[in-house]
Amino acid sequence: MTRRDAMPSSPRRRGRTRWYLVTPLIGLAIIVAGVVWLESLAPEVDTVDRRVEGVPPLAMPDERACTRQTGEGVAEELRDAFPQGGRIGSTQVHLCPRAFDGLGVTYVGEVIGEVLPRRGGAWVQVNDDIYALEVGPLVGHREQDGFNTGMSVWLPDGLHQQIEAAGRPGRRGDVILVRGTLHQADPDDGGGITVRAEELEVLAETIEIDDPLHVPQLIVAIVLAIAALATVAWSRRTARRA
Amino acid sequence: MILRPGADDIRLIAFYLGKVLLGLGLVMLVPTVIALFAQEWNSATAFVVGASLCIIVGSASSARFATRRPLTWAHGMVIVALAWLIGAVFAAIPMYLSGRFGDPLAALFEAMSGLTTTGMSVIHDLDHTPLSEDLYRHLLQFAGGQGIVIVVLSLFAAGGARIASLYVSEARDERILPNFIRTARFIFMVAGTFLVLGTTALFLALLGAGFTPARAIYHAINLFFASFDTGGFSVMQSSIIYYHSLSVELIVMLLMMAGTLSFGLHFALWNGNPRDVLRHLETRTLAITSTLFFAAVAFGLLRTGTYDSTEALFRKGFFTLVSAVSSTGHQVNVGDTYLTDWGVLAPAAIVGAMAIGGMASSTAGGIKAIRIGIAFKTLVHDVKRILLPESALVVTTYHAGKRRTLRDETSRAATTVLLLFLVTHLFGAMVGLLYGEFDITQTLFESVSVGSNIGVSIGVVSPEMPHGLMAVYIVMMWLGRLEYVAVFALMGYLLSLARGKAKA
Amino acid sequence: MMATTRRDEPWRRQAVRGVGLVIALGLTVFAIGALISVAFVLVMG
Repeated sequence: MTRRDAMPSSPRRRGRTRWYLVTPLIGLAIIVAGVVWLESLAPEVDTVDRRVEGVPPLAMPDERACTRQTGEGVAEELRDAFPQGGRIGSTQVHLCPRAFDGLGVTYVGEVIGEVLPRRGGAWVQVNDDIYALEVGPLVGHREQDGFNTGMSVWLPDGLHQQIEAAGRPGRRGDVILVRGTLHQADPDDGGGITVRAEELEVLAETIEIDDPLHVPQLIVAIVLAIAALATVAWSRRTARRA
Repeated sequence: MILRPGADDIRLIAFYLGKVLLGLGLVMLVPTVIALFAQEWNSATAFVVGASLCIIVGSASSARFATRRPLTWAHGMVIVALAWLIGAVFAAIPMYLSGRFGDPLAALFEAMSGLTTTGMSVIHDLDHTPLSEDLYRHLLQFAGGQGIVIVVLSLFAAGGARIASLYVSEARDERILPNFIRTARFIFMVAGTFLVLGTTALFLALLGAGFTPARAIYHAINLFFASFDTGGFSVMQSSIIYYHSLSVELIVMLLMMAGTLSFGLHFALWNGNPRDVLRHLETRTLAITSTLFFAAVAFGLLRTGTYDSTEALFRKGFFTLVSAVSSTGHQVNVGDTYLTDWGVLAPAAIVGAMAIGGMASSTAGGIKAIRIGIAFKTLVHDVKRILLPESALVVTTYHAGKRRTLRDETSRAATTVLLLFLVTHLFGAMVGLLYGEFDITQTLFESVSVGSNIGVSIGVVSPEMPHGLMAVYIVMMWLGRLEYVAVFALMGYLLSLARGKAKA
Repeated sequence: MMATTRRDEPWRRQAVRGVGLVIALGLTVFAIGALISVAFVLVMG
């Protein structure tokens, strides 16, 4: 600690403090800007060939939310308007589960994750978002559309054997169409919302998705890695000298 | 205490922050290795970019500003406050580069959510996310959970015993063992033991649920970090629904409870003193509040007809309550259905449980049971004082590690922070209402969940949520994890700098 | 509470005891939750 540090506050010293605060902020801003720029350089692929054909339209296109308030008639209206065996969407069901409880439905989506074989059948999670049915997994493109949405489907009596593969990081799994009954509080699933399937049809088979290499990012990574090693070496030298 | 920071103070803070960044850089190396093995090349380069930046800034800073100056309480608080903020910014780098986030703010949200063990997510297409990126999200919960405890303890070890006594002024029992190093080691031993046992139990349960061994290991490890660190991120978007397994749910609940048990109580159990646990004010507070809230949940769900069986009530209602109390955030229901299918009473009870949160000195969030307990004791104390003659001496005691007397400073500290939490929750709820797309049930539920670092979502938090609300939630998660005190120290610092009172 | 540490005890025994007691505590909590569920289902039908 030099004698200068013991002196009372002076504009030069206060300036130094301000500089110590401003520099990191500028540095952070540069880093953030650099990262954003790097990400914008990512390669993009056309997603047109990932669209699933042959998906029947939703039986009721409007999505209405209900609550459990007594006297509210939304669930009953939806129920009455719903054609037996029509196609439902997962978002639609979650907005008013009891409207569809016990109804015969059709549900379409991508099998995601894995098939979980149990006694008498298997559980699958089936997503019907755009990543499943339209643009494929969010790999190599930036057509973002929010969370995955889907429902649990119970496939009894070996129906699951028709499924070739489930969706994973590098792949869009089988897109299936099931016909069955929807349960708002399935007793065999501890009260969960499920579709108990009776028939299954594979609409689209699994496709492997290529993630094109982001070359600028690779270059930046190599440069920064070298810089990091250099910094560590320098800091060891500085520490040894101190 | 008037804070008048100078250049030396800033250098000291920069030194310790450098070390924190170095730690974060090392954490990023783990998913890098996984990405290379899994041939997820773009993820690997993203992590290398992130790790390199952390290491460059971190080692440069800690070398340039190396010092042996002792820390004061103010320094420690500012470092902790900034550690989470700066840490979240750097942690967000590989996330944003993955292309799964709409903009840098969303990546920052996810990073802050992981580090504060909140567990709210704004990621696009989680179900197709590369393994390394998913593991990274879960590792951040571990880093923010166990890791930060170590950071705090070592900071205070650097500061000396005087700091320790200041830090425990809020009736918290951080000094489990007389020596900070031994305390840190004990915490790691507990975490390590549960890691081995918990992951194994989950692995076996997942095998039984129909998983292949490789997938079972992957899910088991991630589930462990999310549950024991009471984080709440999940491998799949459908959270715990994905598993359809009672055994998985039971093990997860046990891990969540283990995670919300304070380390002091773990220590008591390891030493064979279960009675200390039963006598502790926090245990008793949580036992009473959780029972009452669960009764409300059960009543609410049955009355609306949402569920009508014991099994459903337990696997949906009780699980959600445990998730809320432990501030984990795992869900067995799709968020929207809390609004559309659970009625009003059950979600309200969950909100209450979330507001209270778990135990202090654990990775749990919320107001914390100790403050609720102290607030209640304060109320009883004041009522007694009014009712008894003026000359009577009223002494209230409680058990928190050892028998303690209720002191005015303790009452004030507890109730002040309680008030701050509640004000923040309400503020967050109001901001949510500004956008006109959500109603009060949704915004209040989400605000309490975010501000208490819980992570149970009713659907307001999503990749498409309004940016202003996202920014407010980021600040709330930060405030909630730091329990305000550290943030005030930081604000004080900044204010004195702005006023030009910087000393030489 | 924290003053006494059985430092000489092998940590493995401490771990078994610690984890065992945590599990016991957890199971107790489960039992209470299950009881409340059963009670409400019975009462409210």
